[in-house]
Parts: sequence; C-alpha cells; structure tokens
Amino acid sequence: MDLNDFFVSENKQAQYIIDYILKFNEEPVIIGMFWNKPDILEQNIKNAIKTGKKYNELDLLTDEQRKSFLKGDILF
Amino acid sequence: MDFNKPERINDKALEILQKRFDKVEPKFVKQVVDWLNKFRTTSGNLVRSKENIARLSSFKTAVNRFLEKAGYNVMVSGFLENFDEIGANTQLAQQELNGIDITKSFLNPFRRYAVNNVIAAMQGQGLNVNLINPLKNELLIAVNQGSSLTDVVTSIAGQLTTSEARQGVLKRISLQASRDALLQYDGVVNEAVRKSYKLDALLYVGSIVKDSRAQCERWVQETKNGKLGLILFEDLQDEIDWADNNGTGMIPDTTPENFCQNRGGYNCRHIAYPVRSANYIKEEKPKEVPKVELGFDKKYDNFVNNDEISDEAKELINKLPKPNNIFESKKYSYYDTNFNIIGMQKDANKNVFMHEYGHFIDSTGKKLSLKKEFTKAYDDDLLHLKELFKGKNIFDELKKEWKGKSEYYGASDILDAMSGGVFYEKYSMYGHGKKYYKSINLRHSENFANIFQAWSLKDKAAIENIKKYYPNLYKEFLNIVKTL
Repeated sequence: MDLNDFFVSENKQAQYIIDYILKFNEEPVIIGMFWNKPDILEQNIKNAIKTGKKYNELDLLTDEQRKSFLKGDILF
Repeated sequence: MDFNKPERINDKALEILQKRFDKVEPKFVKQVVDWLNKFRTTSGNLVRSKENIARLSSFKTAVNRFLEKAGYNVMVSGFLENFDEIGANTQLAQQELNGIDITKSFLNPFRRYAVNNVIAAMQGQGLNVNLINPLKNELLIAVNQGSSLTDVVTSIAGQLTTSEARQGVLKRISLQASRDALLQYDGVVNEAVRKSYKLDALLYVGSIVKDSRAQCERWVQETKNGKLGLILFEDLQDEIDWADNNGTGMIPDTTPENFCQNRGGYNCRHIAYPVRSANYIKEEKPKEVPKVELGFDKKYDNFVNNDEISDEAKELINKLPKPNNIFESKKYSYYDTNFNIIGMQKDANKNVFMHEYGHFIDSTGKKLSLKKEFTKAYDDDLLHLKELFKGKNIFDELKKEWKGKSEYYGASDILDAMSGGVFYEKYSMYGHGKKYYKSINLRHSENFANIFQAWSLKDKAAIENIKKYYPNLYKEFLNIVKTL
C-alpha cells in the first residue's frame, strides 16, 4: 500500500525528466543518492541531455558499491 | 519525623494538669471558705472593724498558704517538667530537619524564661492580678458595706469553683497560663534557632481540624516550594498580610521576626520550625553534556557534539557501538550495511551525518525499522494522510508547504517513500525516487533515518511537522529509542 492508492498524481513528470526521456527514449537511472539535493539531480540530468551521455547514478558507484547497492546494502 | 508530637506532648501535659487541678480546687475552695467564715459578723453581716480590716490584709498570704496546702505548688512544679520533654523534642526536630545539634545550654535560657512565665502567671503577678486582688477588693467593699457574709462566701466560692457553666478563676488562670507557656516555649526556641543559624524558611506543621483557621490550613497545606508546609522567610510578610486580610485570630503586630512565636494566632497549636530551604529546594545542577568521540576524523565528532544535537542523541550515540569507519566520500553520502561504514560527501553537513548515522543505528539494532510496530505505523500514517488530505492533491499541498525549506527534507523524503518515489521524480521534491523505493524495506529504513535526523537535531519545526503528518511513525520511533 502506498499513497498512490489514495491520491492520483496530477503533476506531469518534471520537465527535465521529460526532456531526458525525449532525448534518450528511456528514464534516467536515479537511485536516490542525491535525495536531499534535487537541484544537483536536475543539473546532472540537464548536463546529460546536453552532452548526450546517459545519466545512470549506478555509474557513480564503484563496482563493489554497485553490487552492495543492488543487494540492498547501500542506503543513502 | 513526627510533626504532631509537640501537639501530643502539650495535650498530655494539659490533661494531666487538669486532672491534678480537679483535686486541688475543692481543697483550696474549702480553705478559702473556712477562712472567710472567720470574719466577724453582726446578725450575719460583716462588721467594719479593725480586726476584719487586718484580716483582709492577710488575704494574699492566706491564699498562698491554702494553695500550698491544696497541692497547687506541687502541681505547678510537676507541670514545669514538661518543658524538658518539649526541649528534647525540639533538639530532635532540629537534628532531623537541619542537622543542627541544639545543646541544653542553648535551650536553658528559653526554658528558664518559659518556667518564669509559668510561675509568674500561676503563682506570681498573674495570680495577684487575676485572683487575689479582685477577690480582696470584693471583700474590702463587702466589709466596708457590711454585706452579708453568706452572700460574700457564696460569691467568692462561686467564682473559685468550676461548674458545668464555667471554669473557676484559678482553673482558668492555670490552664490558660500553662497552655500559653507550652506553645510559647516552642515558639521562642524556634525563633532563636532561626536567628542563630540564619535559617531562611519555615516548615509550618500540625494537624488540621474542623475549626482550624484559614491561614493555618493554607500554611500547613502550602506546596508551592515543593515541600508540604514550606514557607520561605522572604515570603512570610506576604503570608502574614494574607492572614490579616483573609484569616481570623491573628495576633496584632505579628511580623516575620516573631512569627515562630505567634504563628497562626491566639492559642495556635501549629509549629513553625525554622529550616534551610536548600534542604528541600534543590537547585538542579546543569546536566553534563555528553561528549562524543567516534574515533575517526574530528569533524564527525564535531557534528555530533554540536549544540544543536540533543543530549539524548549524544547519549545514545555514546552508548551504542560505533561504525567500522566514517570517511570522506567524493560525490554522495551513504551508509553501507555490509561493511558497517559511513561515507560522507565532503560538503555534507551535520544534518546529513545524522541521517546516515540513523541508518547505522537502525542497522546495528538488527533492522529496528522493520519491527512490526514501526511498519504498522507506516500503514497507519498512510491512512492518517488519506483522511487529512481528503479531496485534495497531497503532493501539491505539501510541495507548497515544504518546498525550499531544509527543515522539511526528512518529511518530504518520507512522503516520497510513501508515494514510491513519485514526490521526488514528479514533483522535484526531496526523496530517493522510484527505483530506490521499489523496496518496501528501504522505505522503512529511510523513514527511520529521517525521523532520527529530526529527533537528534532538536529541530522543533521538523519534529512538529513529522508529528503532524506521521504521528504513528514518530511515536513508534520514540518507543524504539527507549529500548536502546
């Protein structure tokens, strides 16, 4: 059960996310590492659109951290 | 301590005195009557003769002789022994209340004063003024006027004899004088103790009965200083003023300086023991702020030792085991449950540190956030929000309320968790996003860390906000913290 069971999100996707999807035909991979800095996330995604390089926060992790994250051992 | 003991000593002393007096009085009256019957008369009327006038002048001596013969003086001597018991009780009281050893030499002058008062009232000036002189005057008039001896004897015997309707003069003098002396002795000693030892408060004690005065009830039941009956000396004038305006029977000119003696007024049976207020009003020592040493870079210690972090959080952090490492991380802050390490992005502040440390505490406690009470609280708060935002778009509403306010990062992230990442990704609010919150367990972990962050930061706005929107989660969080 979550809030979406009770409330319909009427907002559109954030514009920079929409722009990203239009550019790369897929959503950016956001794993929550900038949870308290949405401005950095926005800036990073805008940079990705500008540079043409996909945005994947898993790439910011080391191999070991990536494995840990995928196992659910890394918390942000 | 038995605060009613003085009353019991006094009651017992007066009871014994009364019993003894009841044996003295008839003997005394008989001797006075016999003495009166020896006046010369003509046809039953007193004669104004030299002999009768001379007889009158020996009235005082005769009365004193009759008192001696009737056992009055022995009774008075026996009564004086009560002052020893009262003195012993005062010594005990001062030892127990203030740790002061009152010596006999300290008490002796007051004992002498009390004894002298009793003797003066019962055998000296008091006896003259209240008994001998009035009766002598009555006799003088009777002799001068040639009154009937029978009438004189009836009158004088009637004044001296106790009946159901009234007390005899001697009994009234004796009981009043003895009661006053007993009550004053305690008062005088207490006054002297207060002054000698510079005591700054009084403990007003004694029993309350149906006809106790309003001021005595007020003072015996006084609680504002944290101890029943404790009145600060500096407040005493106000209390006396209160009694003068609202109470009854106060002795005129009662002041703080003579309050131990006068207390609640005439014949007041209560006692005002002088005490040190510090014995009862403890100044709270400022609690020592716990100092945290995590064992890594000092800047992390400084985060925790910051004044904005609550002492409870510092104590908890001190009490629990520490992470294996806390180090600087290049791009983001995180906690790794596998290696039990915290990576802190170099610019991250103490708020982020407390969030990550919340993850560590959750994990160290074998996943406190997955306790069924905490996960149930999550469901309960979903329903709470459903009710709270009925007919509204919760995301729009709370975005308006929280956007740009750092104190609501945590609350925003909890809402993001509850929305499965919608609040972060669609509304550009603080949160971890859809991919992260696919995991229900991570929702609980983040909820715990966010509440820990607000709680540890003493952040009133953040805590009130969390309590408003997530009351069940906050309550269960506090319950969990209590168990650690």
